[in-house]
Amino acid sequence: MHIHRLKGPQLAAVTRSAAVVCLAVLAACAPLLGYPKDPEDTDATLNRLVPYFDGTKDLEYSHASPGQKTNIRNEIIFARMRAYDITFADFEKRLYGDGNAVTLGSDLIGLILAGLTATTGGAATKSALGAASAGVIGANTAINKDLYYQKTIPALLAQMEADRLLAKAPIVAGVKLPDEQYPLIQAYIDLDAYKNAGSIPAAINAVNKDAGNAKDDALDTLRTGVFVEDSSGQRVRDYLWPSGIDKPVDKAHLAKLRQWMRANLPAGVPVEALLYGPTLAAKRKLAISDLAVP
Amino acid sequence: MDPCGVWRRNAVPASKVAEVVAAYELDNPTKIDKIDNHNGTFDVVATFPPCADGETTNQPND
Repeated sequence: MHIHRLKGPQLAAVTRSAAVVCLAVLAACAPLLGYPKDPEDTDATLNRLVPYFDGTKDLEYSHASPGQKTNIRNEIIFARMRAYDITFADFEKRLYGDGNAVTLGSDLIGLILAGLTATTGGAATKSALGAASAGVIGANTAINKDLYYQKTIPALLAQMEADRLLAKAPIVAGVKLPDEQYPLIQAYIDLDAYKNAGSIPAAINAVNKDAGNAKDDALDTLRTGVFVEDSSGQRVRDYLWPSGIDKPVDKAHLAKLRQWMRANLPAGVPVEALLYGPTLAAKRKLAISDLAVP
Repeated sequence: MDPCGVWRRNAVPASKVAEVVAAYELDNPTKIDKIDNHNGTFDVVATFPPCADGETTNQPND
């Protein structure tokens, strides 16, 4: 391939071409959001719901007769729930869409810039395009470090949906009650819980709590159990006390076993549980294999 | 993380109690109790410092 050095006008032309290609790629990579187009003008709906957030309807509620309060309370509740649903749906779409756009778009732009760098002559041009390519690919590498985050988005969204359903229950029950039994102030507390249930921090907390509970359950099953002595347990015991149980433990072997336990068992499991626990027979065999216990 | 709360090994043959106790002692429990089941076995109960959540045991019936 004939490579020549680009001068001012040529360099400008290449730069313009690169920009056009990049824009075209960006447009081509517009993310497929996975949601049908919403026929509702949700911005307009949210505008119409402003009186339910700016105190207008609260004032109406506070001046209403006892007989009217329940209706106005329900009007406020339904309006706010509608607004929260709209903003949550938008949030959900953006969570899906943004991740796709960044990943696909920057990958392809980076490849195109790298291609231009390789085929375009001129040290200055190569340097400029190379830097741009490296920048885009580098940015994407950094973004890919968030791949775990991207992959957890569906799980977090599922958690949010579940939390929102749970938070919705007392509100749905409340609107059936008269205002004396379910006043607006209580509804606001429930509505706040409903709103917050659709947030990433709340979903992460819920997921972590579930994981923590699972870990606690795993530990609890190990805490108590009947004594079991198998050949693996005897070998690990002899590994720890090569001179007999009434002699000092082999500290080097104990350190290795603890290191292995940290990698293979829940935190906080005593050595005894590994030696004699009825549910850890497979782990004992694995320890023998991994540590080359004689 | 060190062990916390109460750990219990049930039905330990009398001849093996010393082994179980020695194994528990590797993790420095605050105390070890040996409960005679009067059938030739013992339950060995090791108590470690309380867990962070304040629970000392998962065995409400003990």
